[in-house]
Amino acid sequence: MADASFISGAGAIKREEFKIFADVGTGSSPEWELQGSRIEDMSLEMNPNVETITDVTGSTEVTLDKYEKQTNVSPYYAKRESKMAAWLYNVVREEKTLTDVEKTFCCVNIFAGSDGAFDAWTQKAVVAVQSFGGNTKGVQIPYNLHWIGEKTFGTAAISNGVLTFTKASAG
Amino acid sequence: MTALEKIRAWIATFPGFDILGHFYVDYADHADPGNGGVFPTGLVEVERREDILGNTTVTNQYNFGIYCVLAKADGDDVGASINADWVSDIQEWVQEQSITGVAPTFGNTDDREIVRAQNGALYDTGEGTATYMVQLSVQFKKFYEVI
Repeated sequence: MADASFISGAGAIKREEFKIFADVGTGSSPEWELQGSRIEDMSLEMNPNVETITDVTGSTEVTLDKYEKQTNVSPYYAKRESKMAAWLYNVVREEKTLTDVEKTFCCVNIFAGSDGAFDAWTQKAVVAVQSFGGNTKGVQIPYNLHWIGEKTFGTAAISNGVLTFTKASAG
Repeated sequence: MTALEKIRAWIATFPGFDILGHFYVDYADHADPGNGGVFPTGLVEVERREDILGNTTVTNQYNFGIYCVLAKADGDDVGASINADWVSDIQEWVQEQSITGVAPTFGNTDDREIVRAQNGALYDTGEGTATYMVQLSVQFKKFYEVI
């Protein structure tokens, strides 16, 4: 696939221009809920697997063969109106495992692409809830995302906080 | 209702408030026992935090001085004790109101707000009067969402 080369303008890119949405829909079509409220630091940790081998001649070879991508969503303050919070609560309540804790997320890069057609991709992740409760600031359900499967590239439009993801056409 | 109006109305619910015939804003009659006033001393921004979405939460603090002019003659130890007890009572009442969550609120988040009444002390004396001052502070959070 060709590298994306459609970042325009100059200067630093604001952190809010990279957003992660969770698919909280229960029907056939996705319903995206923005993640990250009250979180001050959240990254797509690439965790590259780098192997360095030095052979008998003294030459060193470095190999990067895979990424074990992970995102820590912490602190996550549960809100009553949030469908994601309700889903996480059920993960805790039922101690869900395996495919029951897989969810699709959409990463939107507002700084790339054009208005109404931001560069975006969807990908599944295993949602690993870390704890339930927290301090007096409110019930917290921090979770880690362990990204799995292939990315589906496309474009995203955000209108009044509602995300619409359009899969890129093949070829 | 403004912050000042809220504070003024709330202080008026203190059980010992009835000894104050008048409760002014930015004024207390130091010559006439049985009155008081609330003196706003401004808003301080304590902290500003931004999340990854660009939403901002600020922690603010309103500060007030509560002045009360009570009767006390020179050398009147009994009267001075009664007044000192009154000053202690209002501070404990504020603490209880804050902890039990019945004090007025000023922010727009679910975080618990903190109202403190501290450092109550004799501020000044006059002809048959003593003026006491209590420092009142209200700490609250405001959340500004970026759409």
